[in-house]
Amino acid sequence: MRRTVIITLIATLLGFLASVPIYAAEPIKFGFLHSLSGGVGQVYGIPDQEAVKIAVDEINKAGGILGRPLEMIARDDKLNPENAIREAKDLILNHKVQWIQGTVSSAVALAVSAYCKEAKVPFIITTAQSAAITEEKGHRYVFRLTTNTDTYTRSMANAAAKYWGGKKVFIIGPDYEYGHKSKADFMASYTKLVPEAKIVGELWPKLGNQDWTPYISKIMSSGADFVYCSLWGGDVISFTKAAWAFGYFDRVKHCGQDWGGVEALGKMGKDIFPKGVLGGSHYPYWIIDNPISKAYWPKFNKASGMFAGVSVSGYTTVYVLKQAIEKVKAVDIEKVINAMEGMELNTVVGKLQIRACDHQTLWPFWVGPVAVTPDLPWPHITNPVLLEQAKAYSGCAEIEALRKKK
Amino acid sequence: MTLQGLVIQILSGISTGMVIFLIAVGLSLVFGTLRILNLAHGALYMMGAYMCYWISSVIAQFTGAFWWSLLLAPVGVAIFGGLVEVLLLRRIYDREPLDQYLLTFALVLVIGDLCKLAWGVEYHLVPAPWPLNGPIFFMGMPFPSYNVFLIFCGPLVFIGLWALIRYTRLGKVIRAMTYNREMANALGTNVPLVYTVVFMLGSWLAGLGGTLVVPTASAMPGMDMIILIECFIIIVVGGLGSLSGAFLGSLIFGLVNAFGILVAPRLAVAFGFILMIVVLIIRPWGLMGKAE
Repeated sequence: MRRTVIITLIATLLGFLASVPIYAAEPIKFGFLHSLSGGVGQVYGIPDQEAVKIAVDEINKAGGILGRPLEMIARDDKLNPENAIREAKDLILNHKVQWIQGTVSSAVALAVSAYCKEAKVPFIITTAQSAAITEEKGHRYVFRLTTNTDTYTRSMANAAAKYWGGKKVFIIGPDYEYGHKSKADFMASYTKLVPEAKIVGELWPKLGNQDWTPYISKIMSSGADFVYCSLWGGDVISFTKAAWAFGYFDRVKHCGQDWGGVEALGKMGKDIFPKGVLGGSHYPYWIIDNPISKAYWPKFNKASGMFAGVSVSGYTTVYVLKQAIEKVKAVDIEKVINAMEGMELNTVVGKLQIRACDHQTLWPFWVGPVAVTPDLPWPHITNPVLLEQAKAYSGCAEIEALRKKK
Repeated sequence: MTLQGLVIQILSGISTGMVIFLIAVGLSLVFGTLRILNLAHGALYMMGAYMCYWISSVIAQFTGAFWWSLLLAPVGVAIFGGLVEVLLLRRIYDREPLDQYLLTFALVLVIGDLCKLAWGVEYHLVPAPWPLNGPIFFMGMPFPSYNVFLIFCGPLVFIGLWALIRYTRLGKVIRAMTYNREMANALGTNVPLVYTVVFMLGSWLAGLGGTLVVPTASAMPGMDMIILIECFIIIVVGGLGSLSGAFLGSLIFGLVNAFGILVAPRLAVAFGFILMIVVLIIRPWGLMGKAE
């Protein structure tokens, strides 16, 4: 009798142990590495994290990936490449993540990209824009699921030529790599469309400039046909403020890629806003007619209390990985990368493809005049134009030539 | 460049200069009397900007919310300054200058973090108040009417301070202490009280500058260091502790900055420093300062 009891107990115990993996499958882990503190964190990192949480939640409620739950491990890169690498190492070596996604600073993205190449773990950029990371410095383990500086400047040049077509261009931008590169790229594209165009003046204020009065008065008396501006973040806000007091937007045609989305204008009122500026957006959900988008943005708004913007790239990335892992039916990194190359995606902005040659998704970029309308509580782009994707990005042959030169 | 453009650029320069004057003069006044180079002056200015944003958003439903905060925010900063003087600065007047720098620099960090805790790291906007929220026209060129108001604020404060120092008892004591501190002490002035009052006045000026600047820019982290550097340039150019020097220095700084942007924009960030170097070579004690 006693023996039977013991045997039954042991058998039950063994049965229970054996059944554990079935009931609680080992989670698939991934690293979310983004700027989560400071002003940049507020505007880019935190919304992205909220969007990714929604994706993870949706996937886990629907049974996970290959029956395994998905687990996000979030880390703050603090906008610092060294710190980012430290976190990436920890994520890969100690947590064995299947992939890393995120980053907003191109310098951080570049550093993480180099480390992921060495560690042979996929890194998917969801915010950082410098084209170089996927072009001349691209490799097998880096992907990008957002726009890059090529689209930014080409789409803007295309829209400026369509809407205005002026010949005298005035340049203003932050005095570092991004501002100067934006100017060169914009002029290269614009002069293809308006060959006689030339620069009549340039201004290079420092990032986070406070007093815009002398800059604005100079632009207003320059006699330029329009202004191309690569200011971003807080500078968009303080410039707009100072320019509004001048009546600038009634007199000057002004365009810039960072002047149209929720990131720059989401907190701006209706009394002061960049009226009539040609601005850009990665995800103008208010004009996108697509069931995935229509399901996504109200959900994001409800969950986070924020408006949807470029953070949608983080959300989409999680689904891309799900799709790739399910396609190869394994959590094998090399196989997953092969599956991602050339993969067709159904996204919030429609059907997209991850290009095999450089792992860049040909994400569209909308450019249109900024206005206040009754349907949104913040100023936003209206009547946008969209540049054909093949023209908005560098071609595979161009990129290959760039890589050889390096 | 048209004539109208030039006029507007000059006005821009003057309005930049007048705002900086409001802030630099407080720094200069505190140094002249207390003999402390208050590195936290920029932080007090930032505090004024945030307080203005805070007060005017709390009472936004009232008409003239900004004008109320213009009245209240600098007073708030002055009270904070008074506490700082009584609780901290008072203990280190006899110490090495290095100790004073360390203490006031620590204050920069503390105030910076307090502002971040209270108001976050976003940019906060305060719209230009009615009736100064549109442009006015000079020879057909628009210029913000609020900036015209700023241009008048500078001389107004200058005259006020000048009258205070020239005609009041407090002014007499301040002059006496600037001229010969030991003698003033020996003659029985209530030195601690005067120090507190002067430091509060300096803080009030910093807060006033911060409040006045918000409608043209925004309240944001980091604005304290930018202004502090500009204030240093001005007191070097004008002469440490000199009221008229601060006024002249600010005016020159504003104009040089505006013309720098006009003529050689790539070098614009350096013009203030070039001005400072030139003055240091020609008159190391500043334009209105006295050679020691």
